[in-house]
Amino acid sequence: MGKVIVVTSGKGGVGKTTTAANLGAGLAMQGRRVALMDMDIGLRNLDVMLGLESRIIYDLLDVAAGACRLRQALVADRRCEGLFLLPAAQTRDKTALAPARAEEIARELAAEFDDVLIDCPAGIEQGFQSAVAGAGSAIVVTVPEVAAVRDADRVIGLLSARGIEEVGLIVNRARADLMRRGDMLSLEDTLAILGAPLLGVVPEDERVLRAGNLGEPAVRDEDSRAGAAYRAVARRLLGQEEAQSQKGRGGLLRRARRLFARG
Amino acid sequence: MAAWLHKKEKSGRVAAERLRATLVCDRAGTSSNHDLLEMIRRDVIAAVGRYIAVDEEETALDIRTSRSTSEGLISEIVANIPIRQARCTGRNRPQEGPRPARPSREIAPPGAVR
Repeated sequence: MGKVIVVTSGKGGVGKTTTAANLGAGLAMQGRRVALMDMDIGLRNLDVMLGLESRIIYDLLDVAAGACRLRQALVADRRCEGLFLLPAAQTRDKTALAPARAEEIARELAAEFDDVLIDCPAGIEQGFQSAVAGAGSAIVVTVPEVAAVRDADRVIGLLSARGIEEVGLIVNRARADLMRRGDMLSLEDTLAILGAPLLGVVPEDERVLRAGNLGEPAVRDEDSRAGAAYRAVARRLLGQEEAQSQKGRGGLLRRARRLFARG
Repeated sequence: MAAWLHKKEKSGRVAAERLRATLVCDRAGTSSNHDLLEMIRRDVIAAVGRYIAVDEEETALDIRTSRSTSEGLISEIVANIPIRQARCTGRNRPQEGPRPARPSREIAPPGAVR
C-alpha cells in the first residue's frame, strides 16, 4: 500500500496546487509511481499546472459514479514518467463527493501507487473533509503572513482531531530579504507558533509563475530556486534528507537559509 | 495610526505577536479572547474565592505576548485579583463546607459581561 498524503492549507492562494504538482513530479523524478488526486471539484487546476488539461477524458466524479474505471480516468504525464493525474470534475461542486467515497478511491489509488498526493480545496467544509478522509498524513502549506499562518493552525487542529498527527509544514513564498529586514514573519516564529515539523521552505520565485504559464512544474526547472526547494522536499519525504523533527530542525533552518543566501 | 508604527517595531515581529494572541482563543474554540477570558475569569474567581474573598468586579484577566524567554516570545495570562479583605481565620486550610457551584460554561450574552 502506498502512502496517502493530503496537501492542505485552509486559506486559499498559498500554493497548495503548486505544491502538489511539484511534489508529485519531484517524487516521480525520484523513481516513485505517483498519483495526484485533485479534490478541488468545480475549481480544478492541477491539470493546467501539469499541462495535462487537454488530455482529460474522465474525472473523479465519473470514477465515483462508476461511469468509468479508475485506470481510465488516470492521465499519464508523458513528460514525467511515473506521474499520473486523477482530475477533479469541473462541472459540479465540492459537495458532489461524499467523504466515504473519496476515501475508497484514495485507497484504491494507494493499492496501485507508491504515493498518493491529494490536492485539497481551500476551506474547511465538506471539500476539506472529503480530501482528508483517506489521508494518513498531511502536508500543510502556508506563507509567512498572519492570515495564512492562522488558518494553517486551524487546519493542523482539525487534522489532529481526525487522527492525522503526521503533519509536515511547507513555508511557501518566503522572502529572505524581507525576513532579514524584519518585515516578514520569521521562520523561527512561524515554526514556534505552529509547532509542526518543517518539511521545507520554498522561496518566492518568478520562475514558478513561468512554470505555471508553461504547464511544467518548477521542480523540473534547473534554474528555479523554488524548484530546488521542491526537489529537496521530495527527497525529504523519501527519507533521503535529514529529518527535521528533534535535533534536525535547526539544521534544516540553516539549510533553508543557505538556499536563500544563494539568491 | 496604529501605535506600532510610531514605535518603529519590525512588522514581522508585530505579526508574530498578533498571531500568538489570536491563536489563544482560536485554539480554545471560543469566538474571541474576550469570551475565553470571561470564562476563565469566572473559574478563577470561584477557585480563589474558596480561600480568599476577592473583589469580583475588579478581577481582570488579560493575555499578553511580550515576555521574552530563552524559548523566544511567550504568551501569558496576567490576572489582577484584588483581595477584598484579609480574613484572619487562624487557619491556613480552606473553609470546610459546601463549595461554590462551578460556574456555567456558557458564554454570557453580549452586554451581560461587565
